[in-house]
Amino acid sequence: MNGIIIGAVVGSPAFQPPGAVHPFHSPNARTLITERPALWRGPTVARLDYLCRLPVGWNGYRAGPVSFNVAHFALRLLDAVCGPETPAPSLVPGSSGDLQIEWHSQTIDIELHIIAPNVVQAWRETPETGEDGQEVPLTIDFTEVAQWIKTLAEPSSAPIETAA
Amino acid sequence: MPLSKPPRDATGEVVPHNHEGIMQTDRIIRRVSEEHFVPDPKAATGRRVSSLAFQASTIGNRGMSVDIESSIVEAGIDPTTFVTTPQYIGSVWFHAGYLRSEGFLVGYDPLPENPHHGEVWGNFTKGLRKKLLKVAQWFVEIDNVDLHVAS
Repeated sequence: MNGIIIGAVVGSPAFQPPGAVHPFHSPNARTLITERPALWRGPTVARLDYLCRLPVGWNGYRAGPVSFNVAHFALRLLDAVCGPETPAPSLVPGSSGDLQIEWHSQTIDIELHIIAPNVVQAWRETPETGEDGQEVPLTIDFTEVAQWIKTLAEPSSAPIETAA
Repeated sequence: MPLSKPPRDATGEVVPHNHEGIMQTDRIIRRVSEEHFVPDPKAATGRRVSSLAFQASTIGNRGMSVDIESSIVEAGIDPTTFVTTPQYIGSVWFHAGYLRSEGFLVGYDPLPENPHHGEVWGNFTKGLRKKLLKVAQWFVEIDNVDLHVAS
């Protein structure tokens, strides 16, 4: 199942006895169609919220929190490139309000360094790239990254679940 | 002997430099926060240090903050205590000579809150950050986190 939920809600303020049956075509009925949120989204949003509240000096020096603009862009990026079953990534704060999104599996490492909105250094290491990896600077087109992330879902490359 | 004052620009900002008082064999300490720890099944402990732990700032004089062990010792302070105050945090070290051999400048940049603060300046490419991860040694080790992970 792909998580699409269809339901009917009766909006009448009148008292409704338990067990009452409300016809689907009732004028007060609303039909809601909602998608089950992707598994990675909840933990990711919570982690981004946390990173945006880091105190200055969290790294032992003078680093500040992740900037809201970077966090917002990161979430939009993930919405664009991740599927509903994509494992939740690790999110690592940088020292200048930046952020790195990472997945690590037995065979694939993917790191997306968000330096600023639309300024991203994407990198991955696979058995084919060797340990130097493949680095791609990106701005608005993340098609290639979406392809990389699809490979995470393959059984041989499933990463460990993260606490984000 | 305390480190001599570093060179500064017209605004008073320390400019990138190789400080002559920081010897090649001096240990340069980089603090590593738990925010830098990520899960990785390739790590023996299941956790590793992110490559972003070794990164220059994009503001100010654009270096990577470090602590200079020789300066701390010169001041009569235990270095382990110094780099775990005010918050207990992990750290790694490199020889200044190694960093310079990779093209970095290693200089002195004292701060009001950290008179033993230094900077490492250079081009922190992904490849070099990965290399630093491979070479780094724990100064204050954090349990259940790997520095070195087999590819």
